[in-house]
Amino acid sequence: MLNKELPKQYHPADYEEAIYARWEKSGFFNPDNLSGQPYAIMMPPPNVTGVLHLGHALENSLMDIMARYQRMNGKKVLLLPGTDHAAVATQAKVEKILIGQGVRNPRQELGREKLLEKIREYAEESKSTILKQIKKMGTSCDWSRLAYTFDKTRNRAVNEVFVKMYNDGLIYRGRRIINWDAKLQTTISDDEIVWQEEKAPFYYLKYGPFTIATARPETKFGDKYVVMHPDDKRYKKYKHGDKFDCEWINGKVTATVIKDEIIDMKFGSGVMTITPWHDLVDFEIAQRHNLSAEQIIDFNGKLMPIAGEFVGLDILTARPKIVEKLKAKGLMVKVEKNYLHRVAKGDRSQAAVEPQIKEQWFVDVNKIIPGKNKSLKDLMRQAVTTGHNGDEKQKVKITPERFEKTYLHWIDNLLDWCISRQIWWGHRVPVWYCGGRDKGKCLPECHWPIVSAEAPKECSVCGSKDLFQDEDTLDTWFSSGLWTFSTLGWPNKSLLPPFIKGGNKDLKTYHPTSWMQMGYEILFFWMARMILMSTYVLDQIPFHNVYIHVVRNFPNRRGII
Amino acid sequence: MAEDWILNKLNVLIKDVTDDFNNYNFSSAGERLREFTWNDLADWYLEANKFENSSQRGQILYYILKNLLILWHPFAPFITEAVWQEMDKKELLMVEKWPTPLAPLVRGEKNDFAVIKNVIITIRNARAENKVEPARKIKAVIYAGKHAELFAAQTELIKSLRTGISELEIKVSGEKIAGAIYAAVGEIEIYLLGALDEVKEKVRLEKGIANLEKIIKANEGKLANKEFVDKAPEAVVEKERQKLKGWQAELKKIKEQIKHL
Repeated sequence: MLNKELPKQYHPADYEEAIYARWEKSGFFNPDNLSGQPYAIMMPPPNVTGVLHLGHALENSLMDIMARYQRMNGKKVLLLPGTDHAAVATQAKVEKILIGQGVRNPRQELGREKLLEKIREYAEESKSTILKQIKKMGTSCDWSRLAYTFDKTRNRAVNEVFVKMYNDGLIYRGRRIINWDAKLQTTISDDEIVWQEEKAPFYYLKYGPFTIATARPETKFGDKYVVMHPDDKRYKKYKHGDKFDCEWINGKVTATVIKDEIIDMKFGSGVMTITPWHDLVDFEIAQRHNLSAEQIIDFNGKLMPIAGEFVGLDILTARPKIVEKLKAKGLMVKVEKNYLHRVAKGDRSQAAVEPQIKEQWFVDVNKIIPGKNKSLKDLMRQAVTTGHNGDEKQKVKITPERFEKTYLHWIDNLLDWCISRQIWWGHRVPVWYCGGRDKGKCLPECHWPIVSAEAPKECSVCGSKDLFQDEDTLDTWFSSGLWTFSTLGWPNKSLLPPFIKGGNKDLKTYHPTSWMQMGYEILFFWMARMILMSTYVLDQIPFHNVYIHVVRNFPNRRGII
Repeated sequence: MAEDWILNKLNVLIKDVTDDFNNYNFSSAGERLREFTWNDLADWYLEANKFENSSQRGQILYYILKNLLILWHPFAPFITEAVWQEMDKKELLMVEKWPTPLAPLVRGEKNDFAVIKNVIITIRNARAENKVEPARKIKAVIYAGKHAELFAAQTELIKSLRTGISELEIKVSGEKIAGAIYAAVGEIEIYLLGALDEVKEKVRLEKGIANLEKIIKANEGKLANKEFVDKAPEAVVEKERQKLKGWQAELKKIKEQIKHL
């Protein structure tokens, strides 16, 4: 029997390092050395933007508890660690540090290569600290399979998926209203917007025979369309397409009457002018009726020449001046002082977000995928409801159940995914264009984008070697969406479904993975994207079970609960 | 006796913790483990164990410790592995097999140790409510009814588990004892001698009566509910009936005792 006297107190520092070393040495963190049914958990890769926080500690605990429990129940457990280059978050962090160090405009002063070098340095240091922290917590993960969202293997996966989607017609270059973050100088997705409620004056202005109202007089310079509801009896005498002249901010304009059912007859005067370049609803009205759009505010948040004497001013400086001019011209009907409205801010920059029309790369979520008879939206929905391809065994189970509804509701309202970003730190869009300067004259076909997983050597049309790559990078969630299978080495030896002989062994063994956990705040950013990518690329769900945990309170978050 | 009790508790723990893990109820699993380790094991079994005359005592403790380390391991991998290594284990705790509960799985606190435990807790509570100084040793008389033999065998245990009793007399039944602190557990009557503040005791007993009447009313209501009686499993309904009987007996005794003050 045991007859030992242990020290009265347990001092962790005296034991932990040695125990962790023994665990690592035993090889049991690596499922290659275990037998039994495979059980894979891919760790949500922490952003290399500093050090781990309490939320990471919670997640780490949950995963290690599960991994250890399953391992002791005889499963072949793979707990796969990794880190995330976190595109916009990391670049923003490093730029902030540089500004703090006195570099006024990091992008301008350092240029692309030097800035990337700085970001890489910072990321590597952060990564090293984070990995040490994960070890300190006793995490029983397989270090031999450590992955980084920005390493060669993952980059290859990103490029392959982009090309596949492009060839299936799911990626297109489109002119769209996007959310422009002037501070970070990049597009951000709808999910990265935080809405703040503000009280601002609401201005009622005289536009010819009509009264229109706006909180943003600075966007009204190019107004030439006035929109009302076709059933509005007040404006029965005006027909769609009628033209009239009226005095406006900077002189006379010729306006056209547009009738559209989107107008709320009960709100204000039931009439509004539209700014298709700077408002989503206005943009859609313009699309419907084939109207033109003018850019009023530039990409630095300043007024353009169409604003006349106000050109070059930023919005907040210009607005009171414009209000004064309107008053002076007798165009100000009345001012409602405390109108409550929502202002969009970028969650990383906290700066105002301005809708802009821009050419961006988009993923079409509604298009029917050739050969599959479904759209990406359908795939995302199916995985959680009937099971992928109607297979009950390929069904993602969400715990707690109530998030299923939240997820499905989001899918129903989903717009196309804007995947390009104008920041430098991230996966470069694998698209090239023919410059043709070594060939004299380029053929029209040369202007089509060359989409390729590997850098092309020459233009396939004219043979020119003068090629340049698209400047944009991809939304970080594009690479994170591939995480469950890019970490297993896809597309290595398995461009075909993973059930062929001699295919990628890890992919065959561990995919779909068994358990995934995350906070509710990235349900749409991440869980949904992983389901999209996995069902589309591999024809498999990414995981059988998802566990959603609570998240500490974020101020201003569009929280779900 | 205490062995049966703790082994049974451990068995139930293994089942419940495993179910919790399988349903991702990590918090619940942690709480159960804590309750067992701090309360059942440390506060009760380890103390009672000192009075058990069992040759298997060491083995049982070893068995409990071994299983507990396995169950705790996912939550506290380092310290459990450290203690495991001190047990001269050649293999790592990390890959030790998860325990399975033994059949039959018995829930509820029916056994002997549970009865003793409840009496001990009742004595402690009665002392506290009457503000009897913890250091003060008193004499106790217990009318244990059908448990008399059991209690007689466990007098040392009862005296030693912080009940502050220096002299303990066990009888099957007996006359009411005046001037004593009175408490009842089911049909068991407990008298604590020489420490009574009559006024305080009366208040305490009245409180006990009020409390019991409330519980009994709720229970009677439940048993009068046709839906409950018809729909609930027979075992559950029967359990409620037994509980009611126990409380009614207790109430009767306290009412009688109050008359004696």
